Amino acid sequence: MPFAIELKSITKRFGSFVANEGVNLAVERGRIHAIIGENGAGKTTLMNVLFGLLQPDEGEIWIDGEKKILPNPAAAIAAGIGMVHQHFKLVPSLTVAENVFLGMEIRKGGLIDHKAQIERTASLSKQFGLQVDPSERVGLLSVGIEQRIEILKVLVRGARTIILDEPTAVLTPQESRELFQTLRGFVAQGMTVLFISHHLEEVMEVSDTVTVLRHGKEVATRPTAELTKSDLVQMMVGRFVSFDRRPRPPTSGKTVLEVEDLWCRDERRVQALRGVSFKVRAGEIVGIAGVAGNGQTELAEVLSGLRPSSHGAIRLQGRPITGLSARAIRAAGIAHVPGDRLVRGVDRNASIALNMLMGRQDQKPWSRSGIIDHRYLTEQTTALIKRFDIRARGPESPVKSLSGGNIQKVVLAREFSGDAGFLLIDQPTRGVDIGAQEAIHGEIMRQREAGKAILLISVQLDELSALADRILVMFNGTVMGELPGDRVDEEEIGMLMAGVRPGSGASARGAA
Amino acid sequence: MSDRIDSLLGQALAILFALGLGAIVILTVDESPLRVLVTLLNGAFGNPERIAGTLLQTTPILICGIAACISLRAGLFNIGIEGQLFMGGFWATWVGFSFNLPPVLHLLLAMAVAIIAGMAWIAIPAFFRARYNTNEVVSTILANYVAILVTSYLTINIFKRPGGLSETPPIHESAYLPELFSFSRLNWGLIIGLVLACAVHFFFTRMSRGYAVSEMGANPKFAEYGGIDIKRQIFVVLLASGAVGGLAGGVEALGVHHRFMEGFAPGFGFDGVIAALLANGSPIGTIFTALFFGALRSGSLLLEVDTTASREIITVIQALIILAVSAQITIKRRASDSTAGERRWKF
Amino acid sequence: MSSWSRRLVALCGATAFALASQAALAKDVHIAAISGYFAQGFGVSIVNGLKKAEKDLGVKVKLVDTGNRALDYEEQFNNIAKSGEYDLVFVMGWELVDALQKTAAAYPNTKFVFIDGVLDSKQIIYANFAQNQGSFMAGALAALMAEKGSAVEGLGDGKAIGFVGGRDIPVIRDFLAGYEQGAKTAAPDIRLDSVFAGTFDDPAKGSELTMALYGQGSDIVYNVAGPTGEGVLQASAAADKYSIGVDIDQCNVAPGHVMASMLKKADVAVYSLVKDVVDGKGIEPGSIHTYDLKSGGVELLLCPQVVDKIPADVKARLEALKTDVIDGKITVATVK
Repeated sequence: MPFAIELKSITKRFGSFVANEGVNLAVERGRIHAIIGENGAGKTTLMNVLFGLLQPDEGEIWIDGEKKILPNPAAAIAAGIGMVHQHFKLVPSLTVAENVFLGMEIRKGGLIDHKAQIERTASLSKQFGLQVDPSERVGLLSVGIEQRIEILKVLVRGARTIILDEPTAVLTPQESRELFQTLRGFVAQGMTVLFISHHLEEVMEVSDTVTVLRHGKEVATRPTAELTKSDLVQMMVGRFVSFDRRPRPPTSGKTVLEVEDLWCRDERRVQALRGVSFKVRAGEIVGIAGVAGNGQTELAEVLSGLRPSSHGAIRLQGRPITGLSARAIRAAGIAHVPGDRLVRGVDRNASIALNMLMGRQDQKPWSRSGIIDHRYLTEQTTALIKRFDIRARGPESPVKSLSGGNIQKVVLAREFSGDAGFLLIDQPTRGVDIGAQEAIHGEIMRQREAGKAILLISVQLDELSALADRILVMFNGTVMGELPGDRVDEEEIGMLMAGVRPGSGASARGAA
Repeated sequence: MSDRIDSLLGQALAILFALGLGAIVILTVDESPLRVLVTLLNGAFGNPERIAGTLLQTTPILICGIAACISLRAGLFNIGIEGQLFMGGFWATWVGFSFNLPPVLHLLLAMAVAIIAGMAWIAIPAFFRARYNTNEVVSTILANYVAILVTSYLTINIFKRPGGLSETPPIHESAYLPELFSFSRLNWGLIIGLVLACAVHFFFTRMSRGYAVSEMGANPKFAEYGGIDIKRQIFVVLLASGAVGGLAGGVEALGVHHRFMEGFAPGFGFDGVIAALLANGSPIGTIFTALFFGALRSGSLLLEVDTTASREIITVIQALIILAVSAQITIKRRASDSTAGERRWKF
Repeated sequence: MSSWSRRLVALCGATAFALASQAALAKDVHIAAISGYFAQGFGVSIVNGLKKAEKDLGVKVKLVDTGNRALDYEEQFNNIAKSGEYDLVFVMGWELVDALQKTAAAYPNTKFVFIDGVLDSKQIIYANFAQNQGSFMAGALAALMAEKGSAVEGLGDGKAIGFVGGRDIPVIRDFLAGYEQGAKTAAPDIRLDSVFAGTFDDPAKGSELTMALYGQGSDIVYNVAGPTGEGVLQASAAADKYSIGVDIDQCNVAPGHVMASMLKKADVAVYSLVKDVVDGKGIEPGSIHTYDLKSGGVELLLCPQVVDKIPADVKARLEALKTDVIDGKITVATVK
C-alpha cells in the first residue's frame, strides 16, 4: 500500500536561511503522525510546503503513490489535503454553517441554500463527533468550538489527510482531550492526521508515529510506542557540545533574588507557574532550562512586574517586591532582557538613542525637570554602541535597520548599562548569528564578574551549560530539579525536561 | 528623518493625484479646472482680507488637529473632538454672558471653563478606555451626538436670548478674545493654535513624558515593559486631547461668534482629525494641513459666487484627497511593516 | 460641437474666456440669492420665483448656499457684495441676520432684500408677508367647518379647532393671532386649543401633539412648525381628520386630509421685486414691501382633494371675509 503522504528530500530556503534541509517524511494511511521539534525547527514550513502555501526549492511530494506539484492550497485541497492553521480564519458575524461553506456555498436557483448547508454541517458534525450548532453565530463561540469549525471546513472540502498546526496551543486541557478523541475517530474512518506539536505529552498520548525535526532536518521517524519522553527531548534539542564552558571564579556573593512558592496563570487562565522557588546570589548565573512553554515566559513576566502572581513571594535584596508595578520593580533594581525582543524589547521604528532611553526617561542625568537631555543621550548612546559593538551608522539609526543580533545588543546595552543588581535575561541569543552569540555571552560573563545576580532563561542547553553556575529545569510550571552547570548530565536533564524525576520513573504531570 | 520626508512626499503625490481626479470632476460640470483653481487661490489668498479669512478658517481646524495629534501620537483615536468643541464653546459662552468680571480675568476664566468642559466631555470615554479597554473610537463618536443635542437643548430651552433666534445672549466684551486686525474677525485664536502646536511638538520631542506617550503609541508592549503606567497614561492623554478640543470651542465662541447658537461650528472636529492624520500626527505638520483645508474652504466660498461650480465640488475634492492619502498610508504600511499589528495607527 | 471639445475649449480658454463673457453680459440684470434652505419649502418657492424671472425677464440668477457653518456667512456676504455685480441680493434665514447687517453697513451700494421679516437696519429692503391675514383666513375656514360639525363628512361635533406652533416666538404668535381672530370673527362659539412643540425639527412630536388635540375635540389643526408640522399633517391622515398646511402648498403631504394651505408666496414677492429692478423702478433702502391678501402675496389655497366637501355657504363666507380684509373693513391683529 502506498503512503498517504510521502515527502522526498524537501529543501526550503528563505534567503540564506535554510528552513528545511533534505527532509523525508512518509506517512501511512490511517495513522496519527506527529511532527515534533522546538520552535524554529521547521515544522510549520514543512507543512506549508505540503499544503501548497510554499514551494520547495528541492524535493518531491507524493500523495497516495502519485507525484504531485502543489502550486497553491487549492491544488492541495483537490489532492485531498486539508490544513487547520494555528490562527483561525473565521467570520464572526456569520453562522457556523455559513463559515463552513464559505467560498463553496450550496446554491439553489442562484441563492444560498441555507437549509441544505445547515443539514450537511449537522450530519458531518455528527459523523465525526464534532459537536457544533450549525445555525449559531461564530462570534459567540469559544476557541475550542472555533477549531471544530475549522476542522469541519477542511472535511467538507473532501480532505482525507488533515494537517493540524499546534492545535492544542489555544485549547484548555479538557478541550485538548476532546480533540484527541476526534482525531482518533478520523483515523478509525480511514483518514490520516498530521499533527504538529512541541508538547511531548500530547505526542506520546495521541500519535502512532512521530517524526522529530531539529534545525530544519529530520532526526528520526519512529513508532511512538518505541520511544520514551526523554528520548524525544534528546532528539529535539540534540547534544550540547557546541560551546565551551566559560571559565570563572567561584561564586560567594550574598542572595540578591529570592523566589518563594510562586504561582500565576496565563492568558487562558490556566496555571502557568505552580509553586516555583529558588535563589540567585550576587556574581552567580542561574540557568532555567526546559522545553518552551513550560512556564519560563510567565516566570520572567512575573519577575519583571508585567504579570500578576496569584500566590507566593519575591524578594530583592531582602525587600519584598511582589505585586509591584513594572516601574517600581525597575526602580528596585531589576533589569530585564525580554524573550520576545521585537515585541517588548524595542520600538523598531525609533532610533537607537530613543530605545536606550526607555525606562530611564525620568531619571537624571537623562532628563532634568521633565526635559530630555538629548546631548547626554546621544553621548551615552554613542558610547554604548561602541562598548557593545553594535553595528550601526550612529545613534540616530532606526532600530529596524539593524540585524537581529545587533537589535539584541541594543537591548542588552540598555539593560546592562543601568545599576540594577539583578539581571533577568530571557533567550538572549534566539535568532542571533554565531558571532553575535559569542559577543553576547562574553557580555553576560562580564556582568557576572561585576557581581550582578543573573537569571538566564534559555531553551538552548548548550548556552546554559556554557554560562550557568546552576541549572534549574522547569516542567509544567514547576522546578523539576537542579543541576550544577559544570557537570550537566544529558540523560538526567532530558528526563527532567520531560517531566520525569530520575530514579522515580513517574511523570510529574500525572501527579500534578 | 528621511523617513518622514519620504512619507510626506508620498502624501503630496496622493494629494496631486486627488486634485487630478478633482479636475475631471470639474470638467463633468462644464467648468474649467484652471479657472476653478485660479478662483480658489484668489478666494484664499487674493488680498489681505482673504488671507485673514483663510487663517480664520484655519484656526479651528488647527486647534482641533492638535487635539487629534495628542491622541494619535499615543495610539489613541479621539474622534469626539466635535463634541468637546461644542461643549467648550457653549460653556465658554455661558461664562461670557453670565458673569461680570474685569476684561482679562473674564476671558481667562471663560477659556479655562472651555478647557474643563472639553475634558469633562471626554472623561467618561477616557475612563472606560483606560479601565476596561472599551473602544474609544465608538464611545467618543457617540459622545459627539449627545454634546450637540445637549448644547442645542440648553441654547434653545434654557439660555435662549429673547427674540426669534436659536442662540444665547451675546457675551460681554470683557470676555472677547481680541481680534488681530481691524479688517477681519481673525483673532488671537490663531496665535494660541500656533503656540500650542509648537508646545505639543516640544512635548513630544523634548520631554520625558512626551517620550513615554509616543512610545506607548508606537509600541505599547515596549512602553509597558519599560515601566510606563499604560492605563493612567491613556486616561491622561485622552483628557489632554479633550481639553484642547474644548479650547477650540472656546476660541470660536469668544473670538468669532461672541455667542453660542444651534449648529455652532459643525464639522471642525472631523476636519481636525483629518488634518492631523494627513500630517502623520505631527503638530507642526498639522499647521500646514490645517492651512491647506482652511484655504480650500475659504477659497471655495468665492468659488461659489464667481464660477458655476458649486461648493460641493470642493467637498468632493476634499474627500478624494482623504481617500488618496489614506490609501497611500495603508499601502505603505502593508509594504513596509510586517509587524503592523504592533501599532494601531502608524505615522 | 461635442460637449467634450467644449470642455477642452473651456479648459484652454480659462480665465480669458470667462472675463470676455462677463464683459458681454455687463448690461444684464444680475440677481443673487443667499440662503441655507433652497431645498426646503419656502426656499423652493424663492427659487421658483427667480427661475420665472430668469425665463420671463432675462435676468441672470446666482444661488449661494450658505451651508451650515456660521463661520462662513460673513465671507460669503462679502464675496457677493464686493463683486459689485449684483443688482439685488435676496437673503432668507434668521441665522444670517448678523452677517447681513454687518455687510449691508459695509457695502451701502449693494441692495439686500431680507425675505420674511423686518430688522432695524435702514440699509436693507424687506419683503414681508402678512401671515396674520393668511392665518385669519385659515382660522375662519377651520372655525366655519367646525361649526358645521358632523354635517360634513369626517368631522365631529367637538366645536373646537387646534393650532400647533414650532416654538413660542413672536413670528409664530403673529400667525396665531390672525388664526384666532379669523376663527372668532367667523364663528365665535368655536374653541381654539393651541400648543407649541418647542422645536421645528421633530415631526414625531408634531404628530403626538396633534393626536392630543384631536382627542380634546379639535377636528382641524393648523400647523406653523416647519418640519415638526409635517408630523401634524401626517397625523391628520392617521387619525382620519383634517389639518391645514402653511407657507407652501402642502396639500399633497396628506392628500384628502389637508384641507387648505396658507401660502406665503415668496415666488410672487421675489418676482415682483426683480421686475421692479428690470423696469428701472428704484427700490428704496429700508423700504418694507408687504405681501398681503390684497397683493396676492398670501393666500388660503383650498386643497383640490377636499374642496368639494366644503359647503358652498362656507366658501361664500370666506370670500366675503377676504373682501372685508382687503377693503380694510377688518383689521387683522399682528404680533411683533
